[in-house]
Amino acid sequence: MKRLPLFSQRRRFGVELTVTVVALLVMVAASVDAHRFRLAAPQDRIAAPRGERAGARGEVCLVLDTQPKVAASVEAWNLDAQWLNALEQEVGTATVIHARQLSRSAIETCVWLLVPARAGAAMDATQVQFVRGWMEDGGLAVVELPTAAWAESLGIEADLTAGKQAARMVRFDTPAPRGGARAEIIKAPFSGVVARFNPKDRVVGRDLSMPWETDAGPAAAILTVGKGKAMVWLTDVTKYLAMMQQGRPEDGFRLPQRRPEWGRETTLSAASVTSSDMLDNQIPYADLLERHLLYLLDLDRPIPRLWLYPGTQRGALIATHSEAGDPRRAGFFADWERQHGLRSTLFAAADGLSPEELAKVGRAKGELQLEWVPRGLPHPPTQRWGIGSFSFLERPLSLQEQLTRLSADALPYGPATATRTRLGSWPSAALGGFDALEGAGVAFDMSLGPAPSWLTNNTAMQGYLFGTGYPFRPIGKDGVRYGLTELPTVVSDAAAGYSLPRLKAMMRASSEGHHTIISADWTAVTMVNRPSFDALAGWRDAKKLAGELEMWVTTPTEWLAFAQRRSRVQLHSTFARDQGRLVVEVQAPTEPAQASPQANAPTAEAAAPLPAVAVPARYRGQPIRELLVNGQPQDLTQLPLSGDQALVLVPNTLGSMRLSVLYAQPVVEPVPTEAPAP
Amino acid sequence: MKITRRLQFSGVRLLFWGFAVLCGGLYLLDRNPVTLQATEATVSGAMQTRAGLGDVLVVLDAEEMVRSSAAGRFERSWSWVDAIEQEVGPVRTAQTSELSAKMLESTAFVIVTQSSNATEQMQRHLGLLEGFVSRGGTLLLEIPQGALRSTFAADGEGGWRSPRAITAVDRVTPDVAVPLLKMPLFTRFVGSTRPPKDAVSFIAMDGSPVVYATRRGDGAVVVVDFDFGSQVSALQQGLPTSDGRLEPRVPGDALHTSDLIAAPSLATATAPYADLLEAYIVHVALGFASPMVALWPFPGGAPGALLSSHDAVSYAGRPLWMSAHEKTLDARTTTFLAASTYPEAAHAAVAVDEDVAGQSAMLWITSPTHAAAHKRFGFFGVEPVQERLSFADQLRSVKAIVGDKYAIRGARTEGGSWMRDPFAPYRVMAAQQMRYSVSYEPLPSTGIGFGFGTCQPFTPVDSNGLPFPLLEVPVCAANPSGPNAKADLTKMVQDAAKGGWAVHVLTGADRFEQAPNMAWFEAWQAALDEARRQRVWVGGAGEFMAFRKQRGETTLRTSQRKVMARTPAGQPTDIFFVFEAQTKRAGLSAVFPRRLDGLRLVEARRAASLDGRGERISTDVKELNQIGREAAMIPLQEGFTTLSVRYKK
Repeated sequence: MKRLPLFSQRRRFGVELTVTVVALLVMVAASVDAHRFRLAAPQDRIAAPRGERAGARGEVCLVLDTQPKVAASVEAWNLDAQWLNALEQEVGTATVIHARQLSRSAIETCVWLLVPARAGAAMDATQVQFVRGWMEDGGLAVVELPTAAWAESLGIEADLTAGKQAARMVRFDTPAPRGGARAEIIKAPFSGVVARFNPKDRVVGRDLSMPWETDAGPAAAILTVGKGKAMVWLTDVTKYLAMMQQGRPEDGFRLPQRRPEWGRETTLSAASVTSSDMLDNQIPYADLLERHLLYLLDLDRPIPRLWLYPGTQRGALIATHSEAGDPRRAGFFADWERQHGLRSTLFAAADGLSPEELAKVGRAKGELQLEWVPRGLPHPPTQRWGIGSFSFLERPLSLQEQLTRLSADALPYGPATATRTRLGSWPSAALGGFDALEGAGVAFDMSLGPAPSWLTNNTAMQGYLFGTGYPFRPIGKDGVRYGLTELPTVVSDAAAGYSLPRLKAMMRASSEGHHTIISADWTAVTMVNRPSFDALAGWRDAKKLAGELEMWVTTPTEWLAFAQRRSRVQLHSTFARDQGRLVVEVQAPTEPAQASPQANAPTAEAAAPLPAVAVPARYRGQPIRELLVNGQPQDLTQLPLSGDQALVLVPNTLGSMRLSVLYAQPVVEPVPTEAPAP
Repeated sequence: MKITRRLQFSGVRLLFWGFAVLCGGLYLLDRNPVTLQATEATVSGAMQTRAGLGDVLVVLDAEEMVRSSAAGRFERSWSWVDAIEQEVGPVRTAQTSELSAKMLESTAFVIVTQSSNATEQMQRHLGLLEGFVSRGGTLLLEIPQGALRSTFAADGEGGWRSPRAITAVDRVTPDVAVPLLKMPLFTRFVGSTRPPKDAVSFIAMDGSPVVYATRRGDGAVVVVDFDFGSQVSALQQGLPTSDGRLEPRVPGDALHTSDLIAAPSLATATAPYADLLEAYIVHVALGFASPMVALWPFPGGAPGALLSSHDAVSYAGRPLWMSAHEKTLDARTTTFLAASTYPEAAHAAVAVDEDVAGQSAMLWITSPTHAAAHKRFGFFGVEPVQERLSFADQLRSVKAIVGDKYAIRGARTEGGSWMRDPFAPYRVMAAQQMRYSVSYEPLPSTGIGFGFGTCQPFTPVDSNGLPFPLLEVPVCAANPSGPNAKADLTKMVQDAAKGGWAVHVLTGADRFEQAPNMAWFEAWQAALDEARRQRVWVGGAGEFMAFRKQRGETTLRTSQRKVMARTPAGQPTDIFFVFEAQTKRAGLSAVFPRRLDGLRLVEARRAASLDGRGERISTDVKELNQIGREAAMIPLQEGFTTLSVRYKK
């Protein structure tokens, strides 16, 4: 067979052949590297809500239907545990009473008793009578959407099925003497059915008051029951507050799709806000409504509370920086903050900063936490397979893997226990994000909040999108709270509507009245994508301003340690109505808790400062006449007040102490005697 | 057969390696393409006329300027026009041949520049000038010659000399005199054996009086016996090498405008020498016998000005963000924007802030590597050749980005780069109807300093000394960095407020793209904060130019001068002046010297009557320091105003 000359001379073309083969190999490898095959991301490990810590006790009792029952629809979702969040926030601790186990003896030691709608519905007539009897003896209960048994027991009619749809609130009479809460609360976007209320033979001013009204009728009524009182909520306040805080899902517990390019599984967390009015909102409606509803109970029986922050700090600032997919710019913040003795939290992606860069942030005393890249987002952290610097196969990392990789890269700093999703994203399954975070053992999350302006078509998104500026534990489909704590981000320089005056106004409002945590994010890429004077100036000035406003500049880990310590402080009070004397016993544990989601939590908790004890500044309109701490009289003019002047803050530097608060007696007008006939 | 096979074999091999070399070559060329230069349209400088309704007439001679430059002399008589425009406002110009008695009737001050003095024709105007002086006019002669010298000036017997230093500066406070004494000189002067009789000396160089004045009747003659135009022009426009080319300060470096700085000691100058010299000559020397009433150079009577400019090559973020912030402080500043390869995306980035920012101007990309300034040619994705986009092409791109709503009137070379022919950039900019340039800037290594003796606009001239139809607004702090940037900028603004200067700061709007830098940010903010504290006017080069233009078009002239009393020797002891002012713009103020050769300003009224009737305006008279002397500032209202002022012993 005749061979072609070229092949017959193969040996003589050895160099050319080698060059061609090598060039082809390099081209093929480069091409495969550029178009590497991507495997599907593994499913995130999910976990059911953890539930409550056993043994937590407080003076305020909350009745919950604690039989876990997974809700088939949003309508059937039991969100009663929202009041546990509210009580932990506003009071400090609470005692949970199982609805089906409620008895007279179980509530005997309660000072206030809250019965949310689902728990109330789960109680039988006998249990209702227990509560009625307890009230007649001087107890103070809150009953939400009373069932027929409850209505009958209270001597009223409250029929939700015959209720009207309310579109707005029209009045809220808070007893707080100062602050704009009356005006602020009624601005909240409100929509809900208000039960038809018939007080029967009760008379306003005698044994009935209606402090909260909507355009469809009263939303709350306070009734005199024997020696006690009952506050009846005639609308589903619990669901209203819970959905405002953790988002309102659509049917099927899904959130509306906002970024189609991210696929079906991921949207924006802001898609879950209850109303478009909340997207750009400077008032923490949920916090205010909870706080002022509880103030109404102080009118009859004042109770002591644990203040929201260490000592008498008036608010808090958690300053964070999100890597936002551009690690090159992230280290700058920590550098500058270190030079100026400041620190903040950097949310870094699992494959962003190198271990050296992470260590630099750690050395600068910045806190390193995870920027979680959920499924569907472009450029996720991946696991790659290949030869040398060429890789042919990759797979996005699950949340757990992202957390593990960042914690390993950040050693000896960390481990990462808090997260924030990249670019304000959130799984479209409304509770899927919380399930995944719980499954990965995350203790603190800041994902809910504004999204960058370039993803929202410049729709202004700043402030309390979720109605709160205080951490809470979200509630699962089964009505049980997750173990993780969620703190919505309220300020983001990458989001539209950010400005320095607004940031300052929010911080001032926090210090002077709202007492919220300003969780503010200065994104690493803002000065690339949306540079502004206010972004840099805000970041630079916020911490200084926080100092001036007596706000606590903190981090997620520090806050968790403080919250842990606060939750273990016990308050016990007795109140002598006739004398107007409130006696409070404060017991602060000296040993940190052992069980904790964080490795270094016991140490951190031991170092965490104690909150002040707050007592109502007035009782029946009269101020405090005398306040003793362990028998020592205090100068009342030197004790700080809450912004609304409803609470007096007594610093707790001793750990355990006894407070004795004596309120002034109301001035009794002398009854005019009939003049003798001339 | 064997030979054929061998040939076949060699051919294939040749083809293979030829192909390999071709691929490699194309790859390299794609990375480093061959650049074809663009063809730029240019215009040269040309004599301009000014017909401002003011008191000052500047006499020039365009033909003599060209002739003199052709003979190798550094002819810069146009600097006089610039000096009057900056220090006074309205100015009138005339060619030597146009000078007439009628022209002098409506003029209080006549400046005969060196170019005019050098002509034969000027000698024939001797009688005209003598008559002007005898009627009370002030005549300034720059290096007079022939009959003019023998009539008005010192003998000039000492001939031309190159001075080493200014050795005396009279009639001003040390804060002005000391910087002038330190000023590097780039001029020559005419020495004399003795001064004229009764001459008052102002400036001496190497011990010789070079600026002096004599009273003649009610008028006065001021002689400037050094080349004022050359000195000011060398300071402001810089000095190329002796062959008229520009060489980099460090051999091998790219050419930069700072290579034009006339002397190394100027690079870090903390005082604007050119401004000080101009102000001194105009207000102190020229105004020594008659009040040189000027329009204050800054809007709203502000004590100084902070000009803030920005530039952006990248459109990744908000290129106008700095201007947008300054607009919130009521400052309309300028951002220079580059051409873009993606004009639509660039337009979107600009549109975000366009309505809330100041003005946009053009950043002229001269870098050989910047993609947006080049057009690539090639095939199948390989582009081995690129053509540099001309200024006109880049301007089209920038206009497309900015949109039709906003006109582009200013330009800046990217990073302050410049060309070997130092006049070429102005020829190109002028050909595209640019009205100003912000290209001159300090040494990149220092980033701060009055390297060009001024931060206020000046008219660049071509090699013949003829002006280009645009102004250069030099930057005196370009992207200030380093630990002292904040303090340095703060001090500059304070000095500007104290001395009545302008400070021009350039900050890159895309400078924060790599990482925010708080030192840069705080330096910029410190300048703005200090400007607010010092009540210094803040604006952009474009806005300032618009103010300057309207200021130049304002009428401010002496309509009446009456000597009310004299000493027995005939010296006036009580003079009454009436001034007419007419302006279309609010925010202008007239400035009068408090003292006038032994006389004192005793009253100022909004009226023109000799009996003292009229509205006294002492309440809104603001006291200020003008070039080291006390002065009174009177705000002008829009429309027509008559002001009467009286100086008395």
